[in-house]
Amino acid sequence: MLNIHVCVKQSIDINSLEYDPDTLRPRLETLQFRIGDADLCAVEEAVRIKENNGGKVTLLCAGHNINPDIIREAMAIGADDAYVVSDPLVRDADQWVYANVLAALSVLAGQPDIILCGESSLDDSAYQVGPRIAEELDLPSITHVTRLEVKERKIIAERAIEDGVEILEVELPVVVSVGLEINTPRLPSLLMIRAASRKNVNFIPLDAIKLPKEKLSSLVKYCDIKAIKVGRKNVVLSGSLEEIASMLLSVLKSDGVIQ
Amino acid sequence: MSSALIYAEDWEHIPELLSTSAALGLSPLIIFSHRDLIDIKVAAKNGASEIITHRLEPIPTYISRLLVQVISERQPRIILGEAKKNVREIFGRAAQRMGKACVNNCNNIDIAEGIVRIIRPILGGGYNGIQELIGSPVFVTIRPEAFKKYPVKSVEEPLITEIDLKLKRDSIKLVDKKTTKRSEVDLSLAKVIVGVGRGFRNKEDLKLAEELAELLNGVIGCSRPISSDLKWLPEDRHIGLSGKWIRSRLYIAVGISGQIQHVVGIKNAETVIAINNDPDAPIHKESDYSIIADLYEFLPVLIKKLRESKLRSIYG
Repeated sequence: MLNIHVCVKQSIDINSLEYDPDTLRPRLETLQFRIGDADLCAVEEAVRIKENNGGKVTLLCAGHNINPDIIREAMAIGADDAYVVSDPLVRDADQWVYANVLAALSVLAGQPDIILCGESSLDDSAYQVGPRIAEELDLPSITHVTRLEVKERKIIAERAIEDGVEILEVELPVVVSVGLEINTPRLPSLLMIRAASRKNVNFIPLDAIKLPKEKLSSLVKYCDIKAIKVGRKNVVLSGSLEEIASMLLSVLKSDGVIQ
Repeated sequence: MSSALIYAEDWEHIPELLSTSAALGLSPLIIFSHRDLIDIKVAAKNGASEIITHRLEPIPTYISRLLVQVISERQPRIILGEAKKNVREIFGRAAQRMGKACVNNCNNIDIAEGIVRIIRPILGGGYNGIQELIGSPVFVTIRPEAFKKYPVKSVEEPLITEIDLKLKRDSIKLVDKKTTKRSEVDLSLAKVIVGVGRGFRNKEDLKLAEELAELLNGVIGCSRPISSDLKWLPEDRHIGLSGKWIRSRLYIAVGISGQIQHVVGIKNAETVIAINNDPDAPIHKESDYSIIADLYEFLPVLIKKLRESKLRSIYG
């Protein structure tokens, strides 16, 4: 029986976010939230480990205005319960604060054998919460895992880095971060969604995890957020394929790429 | 003076990391690196006054513990590294241990009135996040876009300090490593790039794109699924948020839908042409010229026309 914790973040849905063309700042009225793709891969991997080895999957989430329905969508993949801190103090959290809250939640949820995280969040792309949680709990970490196998009290992980592929072996407990390559999360069936609606989402008051003030104080502050706007011509070339190809050649010629 | 500690996993960009640190007004410049990697001449020429070496295997959990030790002794203002997977893990762990700020993949870094300010891609890469880092030291990994040029004073002979520490070890073992051959092409320098995406049904079909690239004296790049999921092309051909950021004269996106994470990598391309049969594909909005056509029908026509014309690429 393995106790598996999975960290998930209620992230800004980057696909629905729009920006103001004058200020280039995000338009807050277009803000929508969902669990990030890498986090969903982490949940899927946890559920597969549970299916092969037996165990329990607990989701951990820290943030502000957490919507239990969004947590339940991730639970529908096959998680058993969830521990959530939803507090205004975590609203502008950096990864130092997230890691502190998630590590404390993991302790509260009980002795994990494996903690799984997405390698980076959909919105903040900070690439560090997994390793930070590992350090906070004094556990080994393995990031960018593309294949994971649990054998008795060990994991064997395949890890893709810039110059190659590593095979690592480590005894449990361990913190593992995964990217999109590791699996394709299943689409929950109606039955699974219904089952998830009855599962427990434990909202934990921030006071209950007893973190000192400095562990809740962000070290990285946003000064501004601006869309990167590139002026493109947006010309659609139309006609028969022959005609389009000729037009494209004249474009390349007038552009000076070919002569 | 505030010093910079540069953690180097490989030495390819040591000159740039040193000049960037010098441009920030940091001094002295200290390098922390594996014993077998160090190149004293490069370090001296680019102004490093000390190289601290270790002999650890490349396991981030272990290296981070040694890094914490080095930081406690040298008290740098900034710990700087390249935005690579191992470096980010090492920095994240060490920053947590020391209760410090860490930011990754920065495109710009500055220090003004003692405050470190960075710009990094957020929200899928469609936005710049401008952030200030509180406290000291701070951990920063940078992308090549953040490299600064600066006339560094060379050092006659950097001090070499070997750190030999009894380290707490977990059970992590590196069982095997398959090193992938680096391709000879550096996408971030290429002038003409043909990008391939999920619109290609088979690996063999990439030949069409290769042929087009060849005719234009260009090279092939791809979106993330092609290199990461399908492994049709090596990782260093991946254009996008977590891959290469190109600044080519011409980029032709073929069968690429244009997810935000890909588009961030092509923002600095001069002319962008999209070939995609889906009129609603977001790539069309990110292009100068759009061709709404099936790549399997259009590419052969284009290749034939290009061959028959006397037109040749100015690059080559």
